[in-house]
Amino acid sequence: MRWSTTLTWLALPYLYPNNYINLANAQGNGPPSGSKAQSGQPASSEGGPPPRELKDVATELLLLRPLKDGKVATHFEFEYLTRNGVPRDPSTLGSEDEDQHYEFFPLSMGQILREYAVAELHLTLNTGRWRYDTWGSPENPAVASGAELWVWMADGGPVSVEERWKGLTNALAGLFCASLSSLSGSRTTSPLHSFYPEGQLPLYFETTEPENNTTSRSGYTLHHAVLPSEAICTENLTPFIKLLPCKSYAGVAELLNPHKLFGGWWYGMGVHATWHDGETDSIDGGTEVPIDPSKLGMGSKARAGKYTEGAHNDPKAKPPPPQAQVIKQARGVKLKLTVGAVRDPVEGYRGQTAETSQWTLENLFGKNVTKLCPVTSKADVRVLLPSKEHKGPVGTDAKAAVPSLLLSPLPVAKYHPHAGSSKGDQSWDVVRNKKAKVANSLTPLTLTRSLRGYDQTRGGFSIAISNHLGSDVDAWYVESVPWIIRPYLSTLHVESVEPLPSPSTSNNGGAQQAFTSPNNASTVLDLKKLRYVPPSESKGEDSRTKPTLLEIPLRIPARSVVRVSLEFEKVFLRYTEHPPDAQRGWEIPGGVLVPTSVVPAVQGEGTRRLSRVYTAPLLADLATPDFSMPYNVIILSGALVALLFGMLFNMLVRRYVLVKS
Amino acid sequence: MATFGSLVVLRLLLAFSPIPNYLYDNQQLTSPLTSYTRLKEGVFLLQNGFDPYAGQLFRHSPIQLALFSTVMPPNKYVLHAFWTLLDAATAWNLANIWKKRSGTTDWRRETIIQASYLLNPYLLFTSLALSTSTLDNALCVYAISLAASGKRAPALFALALLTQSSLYSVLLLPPIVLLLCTGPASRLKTPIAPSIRISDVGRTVFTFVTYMLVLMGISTLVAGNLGWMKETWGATLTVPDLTPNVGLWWYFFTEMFDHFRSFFLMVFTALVTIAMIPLTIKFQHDPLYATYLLVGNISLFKSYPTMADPGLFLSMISIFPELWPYLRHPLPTVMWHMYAATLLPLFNNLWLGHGTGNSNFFYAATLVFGVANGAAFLDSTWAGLIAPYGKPKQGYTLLQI
Repeated sequence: MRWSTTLTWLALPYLYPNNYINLANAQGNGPPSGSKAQSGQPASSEGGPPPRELKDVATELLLLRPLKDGKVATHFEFEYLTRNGVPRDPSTLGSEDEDQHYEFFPLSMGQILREYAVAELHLTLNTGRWRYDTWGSPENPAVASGAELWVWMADGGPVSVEERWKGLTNALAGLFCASLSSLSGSRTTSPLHSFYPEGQLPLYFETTEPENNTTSRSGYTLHHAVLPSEAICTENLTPFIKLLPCKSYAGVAELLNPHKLFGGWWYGMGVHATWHDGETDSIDGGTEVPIDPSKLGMGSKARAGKYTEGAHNDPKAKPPPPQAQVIKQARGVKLKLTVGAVRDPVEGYRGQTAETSQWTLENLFGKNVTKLCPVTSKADVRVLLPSKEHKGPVGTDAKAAVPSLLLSPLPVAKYHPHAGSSKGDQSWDVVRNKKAKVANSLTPLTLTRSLRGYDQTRGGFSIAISNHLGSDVDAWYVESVPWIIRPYLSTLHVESVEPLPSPSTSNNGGAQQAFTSPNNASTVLDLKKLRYVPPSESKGEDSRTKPTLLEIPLRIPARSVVRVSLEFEKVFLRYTEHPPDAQRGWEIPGGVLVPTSVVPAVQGEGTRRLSRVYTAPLLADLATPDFSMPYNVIILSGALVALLFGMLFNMLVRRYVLVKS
Repeated sequence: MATFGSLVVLRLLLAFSPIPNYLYDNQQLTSPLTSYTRLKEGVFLLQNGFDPYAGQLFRHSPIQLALFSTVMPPNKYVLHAFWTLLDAATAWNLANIWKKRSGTTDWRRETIIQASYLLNPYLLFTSLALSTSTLDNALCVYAISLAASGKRAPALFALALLTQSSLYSVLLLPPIVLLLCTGPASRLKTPIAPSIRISDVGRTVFTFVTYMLVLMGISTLVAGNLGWMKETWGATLTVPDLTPNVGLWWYFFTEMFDHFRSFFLMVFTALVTIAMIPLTIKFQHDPLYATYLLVGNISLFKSYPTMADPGLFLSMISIFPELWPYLRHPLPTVMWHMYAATLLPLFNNLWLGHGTGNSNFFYAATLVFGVANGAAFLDSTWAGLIAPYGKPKQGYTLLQI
């Protein structure tokens, strides 16, 4: 299938296709200059007022990606960096903390991070299921349904990690008005192999390991918890907006209109706090650094950092080419606030069909950007354009060709929404032409999980993992099984490995032959490396309500589907343990596939890690007792027991006599 | 002998038919403490280096874990053959008990006893489901058979071994000690207790305690820590797993208010244990009969029963033919059992399989089953108590005062 390339992108009133205009000092003094933009030179390095020496750096970004099914993925990203900040050493938790002074970095988040000595935090609140098959990889890989919180905390210090975790969930629950406080021990697991820090973890302690060997995460504990039924709504967005320096009065945050966002097919928000031990003090706001475009398309989180895994080349070793350059992270604590929504531009416009549809920021969000937030050093609106060369996963003999096709970057149109300040009150918008067609975006890995079994005593998971790449992928499949079901590890099987059906666009049978090991299911699963953490006792809490953690190491052969099955037993609960809506069933959080393999980055320079993939949550149907029966059962069982015991007692203690009648 | 042989062959044929595939997870035939599926899981966990007692799933005794992870792999076909063999041995031992009790041999009577065990549907299907209840029954009958033969050390060892997997079996100790000290002969009609020496009793109890400690030590070695006690014996006493079974506990503790849970756990445990004292005292003249009644009492009130527990009690009545005339209501008891045996699988499936019935259906069926078991137990007790008076003659009636 060929994709039309006759696309027209309009930016009104200014049209800057394939341009990038950077206004480092967004006080509105420097109007955008076309020549600067054309030359692609860093705009901020020349002209403008002398840069103020700020401690914090604020940037914002709006990314728009037209999707295959006519919808539009929108992704807001607000980044706040407090330069040279370091997460608190947990050993100092007993004493007074140092003074906190932030310029743009939200104080309430800073206080929480320091109070509980959090090294890295990821909180996402999402509603809906991200459709990897039609929408491609999300801009931010954290698309788990419901609330997901995972936190790296250093061990040691006067306050235990468990207590800090409990305090942190309560603090975040209060800050974001979400039911995070129910992320108790019954939902918390500590994966060891699969999740990896996205930033870096400071070393507070002496290690015996050599200085450069920093890939180990010893001394740190990861807590991961998912609340699949927690939905995001306005009451979560309002406190989120309060964290932004301009609230929703200026900048791309103006578009954060709850009426539109929460009418989407998928929407969510995220809070990501990381720490980076940058080599230099420079920041990407001061000197223009191109952003890896593949990151936008694929949502990769692999950046140069001490803790990235995999045997890949050190990106610092050789100067990266301009197109695939890895961002040099400035040293400091970075807080990234994201909002994402998949909107259907046709929605609510009767009389318009998908064919005639054209979208603008105005009809996507019901608002527009009128002015910039003055404190941001960079504010972008980017639209991903369909690629001319994009052909989809054409079956080809050359294995290496497949990933590069799949992962080829789409051209990006970049806009700067800075118009109002220089040109008065003229409005500004991005309009999509009606003829625009969108490339078929594909994810390298897709994952489905379904529930087997029809009765209320037993069941099973069927997990199908497809690898569309031309090379084998190593991955961890993480299943955090809630306490209401107990998996039988002996039933964990890789049932079959099948080649993917060859794509219809294939012009030869190469894809079929490329698959060499059809029934090699035993080599796919390595039981020796499997991590199984059964529910364990901890003080004060019954192990009855603890989840089981499974980290399953898998090797997914190139261009094939691996089917994994696992059976489980459903637990019969006490009647007081059932929720008020017991017949609805229990949510089982989504499984996560975390690839550890690295694939060649865009245009073959360096390597990057594939992003993780989530499945949708499932509903498990548990047997329920009759909730109106406690008294009846006590009476009936008690009556039977009393009857039997009474008759036995009567027989044993009384004497027998024969009497003449 | 030929009958016995053909019955065993029939059992083998059934074991290798496709029937067992539908029974492994049947809640009437297996309990969380005896399920074959869980046994497989435990062995798998142990062999792959995980602690089998950590996951709240595996509750078999460490001795069984050791047996099935080393000597006998939990292969379906091996186990089916072994289970059939166990049943054959148990039937043989039951006949042996009768021989020791009557002091005679009568192949026809022995065949009836063997057939009553091998053809008992409660026992047959439990055995086909590879429930370890069959293992417990075999040990129980073997211990009684050894005690009836006067083999003190092996009998006590078998009882200690049985206690590892079935905690309530420790209640059989007093009658078995008496049995070892007085012999198995029937004295039901002449209730005069033979004199026993206290030192004899002391020595027997000491032997049992020694065996228990040794076996507990072995269990701890196998499990690696003391965690097995909470998961096996602790589960028997505190009922953490509320998977439905044919007993009286599961629904009671599903519906129990949280703040009364520990109180009623004590009450129910007392209910099982308390009958041991009066039954042993009342039947001290015939400890074998006391043992038999205690087996019935445990099967009636234990926390995780399977069909095999009352099944053993019902089959054991065949070794006391002298009491059959004194049973008051054998026919209603049989009818209750047929009624319950029909309702239990039906209502279980209606509730959990089809979803057209609710939990009360199955609960009601377990109550009927409780009535049936209670009727059999009380009738046997009654028969044992009135045997000395013989059949009342014309013009006389038996009264309790």
